Amino acid sequence: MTDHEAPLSQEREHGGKPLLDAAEQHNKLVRVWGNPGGLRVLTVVNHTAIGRYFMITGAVFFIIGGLMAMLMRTQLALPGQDWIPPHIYNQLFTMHGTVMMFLFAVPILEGVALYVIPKMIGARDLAFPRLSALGYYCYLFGGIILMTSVVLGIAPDTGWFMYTPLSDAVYTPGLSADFWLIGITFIEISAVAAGIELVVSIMRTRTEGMTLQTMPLFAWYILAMSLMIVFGFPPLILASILLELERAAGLPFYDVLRGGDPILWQHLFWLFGHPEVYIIFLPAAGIISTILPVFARRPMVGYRWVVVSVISTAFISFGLWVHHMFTVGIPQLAQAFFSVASMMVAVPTGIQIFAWLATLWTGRPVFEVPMLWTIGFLVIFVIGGLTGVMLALVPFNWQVHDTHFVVAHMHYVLVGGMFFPLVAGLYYWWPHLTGRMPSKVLAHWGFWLTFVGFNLTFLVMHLTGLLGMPRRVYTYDAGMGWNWPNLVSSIGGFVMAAGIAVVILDLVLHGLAGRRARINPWQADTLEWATATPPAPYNFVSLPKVSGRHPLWEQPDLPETIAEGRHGLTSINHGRRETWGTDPVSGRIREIIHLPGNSWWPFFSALALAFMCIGLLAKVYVIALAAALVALGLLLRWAWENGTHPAAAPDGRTAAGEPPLHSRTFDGPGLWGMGVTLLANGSLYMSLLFGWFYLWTVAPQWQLPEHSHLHWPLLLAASLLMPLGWLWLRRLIARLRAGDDARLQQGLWWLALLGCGQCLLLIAGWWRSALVPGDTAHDAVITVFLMYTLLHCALATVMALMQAWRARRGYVSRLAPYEPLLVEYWWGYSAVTTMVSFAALVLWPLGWGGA
Amino acid sequence: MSSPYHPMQLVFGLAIWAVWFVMIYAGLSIACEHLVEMEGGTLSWVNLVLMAFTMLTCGLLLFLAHRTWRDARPSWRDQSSAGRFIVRTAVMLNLVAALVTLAVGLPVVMLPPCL
Repeated sequence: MTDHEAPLSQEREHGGKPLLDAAEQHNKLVRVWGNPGGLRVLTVVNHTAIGRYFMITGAVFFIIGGLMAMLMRTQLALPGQDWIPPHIYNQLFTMHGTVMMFLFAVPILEGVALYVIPKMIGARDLAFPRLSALGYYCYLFGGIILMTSVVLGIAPDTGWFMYTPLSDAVYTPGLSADFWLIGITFIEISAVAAGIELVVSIMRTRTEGMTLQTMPLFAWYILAMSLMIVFGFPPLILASILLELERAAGLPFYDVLRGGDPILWQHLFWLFGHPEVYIIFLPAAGIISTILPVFARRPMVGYRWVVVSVISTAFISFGLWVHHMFTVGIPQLAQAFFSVASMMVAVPTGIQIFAWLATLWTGRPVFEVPMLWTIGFLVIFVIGGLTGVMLALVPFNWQVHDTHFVVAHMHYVLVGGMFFPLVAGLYYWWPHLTGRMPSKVLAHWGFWLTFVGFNLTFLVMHLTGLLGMPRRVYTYDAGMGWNWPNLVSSIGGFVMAAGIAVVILDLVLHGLAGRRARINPWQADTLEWATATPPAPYNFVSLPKVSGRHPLWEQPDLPETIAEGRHGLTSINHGRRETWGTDPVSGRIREIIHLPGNSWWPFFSALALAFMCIGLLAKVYVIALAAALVALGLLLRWAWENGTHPAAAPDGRTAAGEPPLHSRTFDGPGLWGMGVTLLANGSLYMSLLFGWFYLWTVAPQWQLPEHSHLHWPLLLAASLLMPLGWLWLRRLIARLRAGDDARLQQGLWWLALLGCGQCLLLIAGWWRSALVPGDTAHDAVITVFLMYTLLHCALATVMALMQAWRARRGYVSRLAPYEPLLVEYWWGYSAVTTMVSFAALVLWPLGWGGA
Repeated sequence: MSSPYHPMQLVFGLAIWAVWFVMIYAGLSIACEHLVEMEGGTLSWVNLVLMAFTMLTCGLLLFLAHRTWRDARPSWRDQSSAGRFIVRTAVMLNLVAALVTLAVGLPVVMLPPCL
């Protein structure tokens, strides 16, 4: 497949002494991997830099969200205070929750994962570095758009879960809810992008010999979290799109009078919202499972039990969403299903806690600063978990619903389960990030102030809730018995804020001017400590082969031998960024993955998408459409620089003994990336199907037309044409696999033509169906189905056109056969969803009371 | 994918649980919303159907655990430690899925369907 005959480098030799001149090799690697300065810093795609950007931006949003909390606690400290008027208070609690969940918790943990994972699994970068950069800029611009609403005094004010009908255009006119819906959806692109990136990176770029069984536990946790993001975020993305369509265009998905149902929003929101808690908890627990064995000076007890727990948690957490809806009038038996599931999810978490305790018990613990936060996590999270089991009990849940008890529980789970492990992780990896050690004195002050302040604030808040104080009230009367607990909570809040300020001060000051960290200062076991600290942009001069779960304990000289180039993939004269592509199970090397370098495309693509969001917000749809087209053009241009393109890997030769480049094979990270992307897409589509069937069967005033408007013959033709195209493409690929690319270009042109026909049929079918989407939820949902199908067919057609053009230019051929497989995945998915949509829209109503 | 050593075995059991969970919730909701006035308390036909479905799913998951273990044994010694790790973990996860199915389905014998 590849041209192996010409070794490109004489760098690889064998023997005992250093093989490479370290300084010269570093310079060569930096020329290929280095990050530019000045304005071109916006082109950086390296995972170390992007991970840092995520963490720094997340920290800024955390401070903003924290200041909002301080304002609220100041108001509530004493009864009868009203210096914050109710409409501002509403904005504060809405934005506090929104900022902490969407702009702080998920992105900062993703930042940690993006930074740590490649180093921990022995890779030079993530599988799709430019996707990470795009994700970051979507997050940054989305966050800025959302925060603009705060500055303008029109921030969202209906609570962070935006329940309808309160958030619809009747009860919340103006732009505040639109800021939330559009801004958060934009930010979610970033989360899903990072999720896809991490799944593929963990599955396909681990270093040689790192099997599933020897993969660090942190990678298991991040793998589970990423897959949860892939499945969990799309329901909210769909719900937000539907609500925005309702607000902007009058499509009545949540309007009872026109056949919609506001409870649909709750289902879709919590289908995302409850897994979200575990999306935040799992990586944090992964940090604990990384840190604790290091300081216990022994391997983690019960590795397999922990893996089983992580996978179980990831699944079961999707079966709890209705426990947020116990008071909406669901049959008791259905409530009992969710109640038991909510209790069952505590079992795998309990297993992890016992595994951590057993590790400490049987180890020789050393209480360094990260361990303080680890112990703090254990204490606080166990309390949060126990009140969670209380809330899983339906009668108790009814009693404390929407009271401060729930607020206290939520903070115990989220601060205990996410913030404490995060700070433990920051202290642990700070010497890695900065090359410097934090101060023990400041760190102790920071911890104890935060720990005491947190418990003062929220332990007492359980009582406030049990005394009946509802959440989200901007003030209260003196005679309610809530005075002293609120005062204590407010004092505690400020103590906690002081603690966090000390932590930030410590990390910033000592990150800049602290004591220099020695190599592997905590005597850790995982590979990230085999890099320089702070790390070079290429991470490793050579990529080691590992055989156990604790590479640095098993081979303590790895940092030196890696730097000396004694391991794999040392060639660099070709100028490509490379890392191993390995088998997901065995860690056997399959191919060399060549990675893209610094680029403006991610930044400008995100910028164009930001303009699209601003156009939608301002309801200047011409701008939105123009920006969307520009974004599409930029993304396609970005995709053009791939495979054998001069800006990617025109020369496919690899060094003697090394495997081929991935773009010269039938496998590679892009294929996996497309697969995982389609899982996310499928989750969104399943949510849409759920919405259709839900409204059909449950909506109180579901309205059916007397006669079906749908022009089924045209839609049937469209749903048959797409599978035909798919089969055609599969045939072309089969020929390609057999080494025959003679008719590839011609075949791809025909495929594109078929796609055009499919699009025209869909448009004609839509046109002839005479839907009135503003009148009924029935027609509105059908319209969304048709839009979804048309979008997929149009993209499939564009992909086919692009492949045909690339085949013409010689970028796709039997020597570089990789890309048509990606297109085949998309065509296959589009074909299946087109047929399912036809069945749901045309066939289902025939059998279920439709016209 | 049917090999007991395939990594997809790690998700089959809980994926079956997820489908079962959605189906019992959706089935119950539709039955209560549309079909009949429920009578008979915990012995209504809805409860009986849900019970039967729960037991079948639980049985399927236990069978899956057994089959994974049984099919892995002939080539156990020839497999890498990673392969054996997958088998052991998959069997545990299938048992977890069976247990969670049984636990979540338990209220069917105690509560009437549409109250």
